[in-house]
Amino acid sequence: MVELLDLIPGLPEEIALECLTRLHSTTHPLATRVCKTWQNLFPSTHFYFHRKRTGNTHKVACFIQALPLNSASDTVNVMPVGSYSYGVTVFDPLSQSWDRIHPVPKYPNGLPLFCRLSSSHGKLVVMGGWDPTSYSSVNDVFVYDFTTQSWRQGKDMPDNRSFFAVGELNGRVIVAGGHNDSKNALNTAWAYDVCKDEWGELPRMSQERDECEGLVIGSEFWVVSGYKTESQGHFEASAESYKVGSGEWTRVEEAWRPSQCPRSCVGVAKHGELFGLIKSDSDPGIRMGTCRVQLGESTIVTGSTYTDGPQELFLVECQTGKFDSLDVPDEFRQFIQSGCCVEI
Amino acid sequence: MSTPSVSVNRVLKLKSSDGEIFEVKQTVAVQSGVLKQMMEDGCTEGEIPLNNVDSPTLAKIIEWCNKHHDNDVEGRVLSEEREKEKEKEKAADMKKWESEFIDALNRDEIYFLLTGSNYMDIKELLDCAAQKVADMVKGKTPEAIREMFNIQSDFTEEEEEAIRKENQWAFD
Repeated sequence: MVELLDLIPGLPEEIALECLTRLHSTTHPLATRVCKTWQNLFPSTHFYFHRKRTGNTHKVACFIQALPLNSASDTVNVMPVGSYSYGVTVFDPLSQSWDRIHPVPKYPNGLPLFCRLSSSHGKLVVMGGWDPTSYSSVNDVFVYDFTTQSWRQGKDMPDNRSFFAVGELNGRVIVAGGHNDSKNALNTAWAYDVCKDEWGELPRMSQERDECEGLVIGSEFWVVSGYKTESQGHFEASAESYKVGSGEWTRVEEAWRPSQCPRSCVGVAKHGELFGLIKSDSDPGIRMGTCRVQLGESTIVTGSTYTDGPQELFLVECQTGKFDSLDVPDEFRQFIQSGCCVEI
Repeated sequence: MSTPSVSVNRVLKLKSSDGEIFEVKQTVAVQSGVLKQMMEDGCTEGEIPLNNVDSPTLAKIIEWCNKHHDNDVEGRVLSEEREKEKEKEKAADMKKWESEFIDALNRDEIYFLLTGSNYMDIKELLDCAAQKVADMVKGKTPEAIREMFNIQSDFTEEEEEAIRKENQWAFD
């Protein structure tokens, strides 16, 4: 055990902690290089909780976004979708800043296609998807730590699964539904504990749900719509929720408009009703390739008004439903596939 | 200025660690959680020894509390008169005063202010001083941060090198 020095020489520990808690998250990477005490403190879970409890964290949106073509080294592929490589973009609504996270070491030329994003205690988790060259499904799990600006590979997902629902419940990442490599829809669900790097199986849902959407409402993880193996593409009206500690799924029949794909677009109205992407008078008509990320009191909505149309981004106030167009730098105007909120 | 109350003109006698006596109005002293508790318990007769706070620091703390008290009183009047604009202006002035107050201090003075406000339980001042320390870190290299806080690096050269490699993305 290494003996650690004071956090700040000359200040009592609790006061030094008060000071360091107020450091903006963008200064953390450099701060971890000051000394071993700081290197241990900043990435630690207890420090994250302390910052969160004292209101010193803030919410950013992370997106799986196509990379500008000139920066992708793999340009041999001629498939229209496959010609894009994907990376993670971070948008900070406070500073209105856009950033790209450096590639996962295992996939330097772009993330697995259709991989899913979740947060876990201020970290970003990337799961599954298809290998960008062979198109076979992968079980990879990667965890990005904003404090050290580094990726680590987590324990693989326990089974093959594509187009599943995902979300953070109490720091654990839950995956449910989707389909396996034999194209069979799944009713199974697992929870990934990022700190312990462990997977645990959850009870099965009441039915198979391929292409379902995950959503966290309070202390419940919701799996919305999806379809069974034999009813390809016929999206169900039902949804089910899993409550922390309850150990079972609760099914709701009329939760979703049937035959509407829920991917990346489910929202919750004030009275708890689920709705599709847009529920507003100032609807700007975004219909294609949509994605929404809720950031506390506001939501970011992306998409285009017609197929292959330019990508548009809006900040929507939850209270008023008002759409404000976001100013986006050119290099971040590519197609956004999905996203999630991370409180860093 | 404010509505008269029993304690408005009553003062507390605070004694710093180096024996200097400071007089503070009770209405000002309530900003300190510790003094407020003592007033409620009725044990503020005579000199109140503050063994952890020296006289320069106590003078600063009292200056802060006096300013905040005056500002609160004037703010209440404006609020009653529904002078929204003036209230906003006042809040902005206060922010400016706070940052000038804190920026004028050197590192050790801030440390004393932190320990003093923590000891006397003056939350707003503690917040302000702690934020100042956090702001001092912004935009500095690890070497500059070490120098500022007098922190000795306990990394070996190999460790330094490893961190540099690991973090190279941060400095592109």
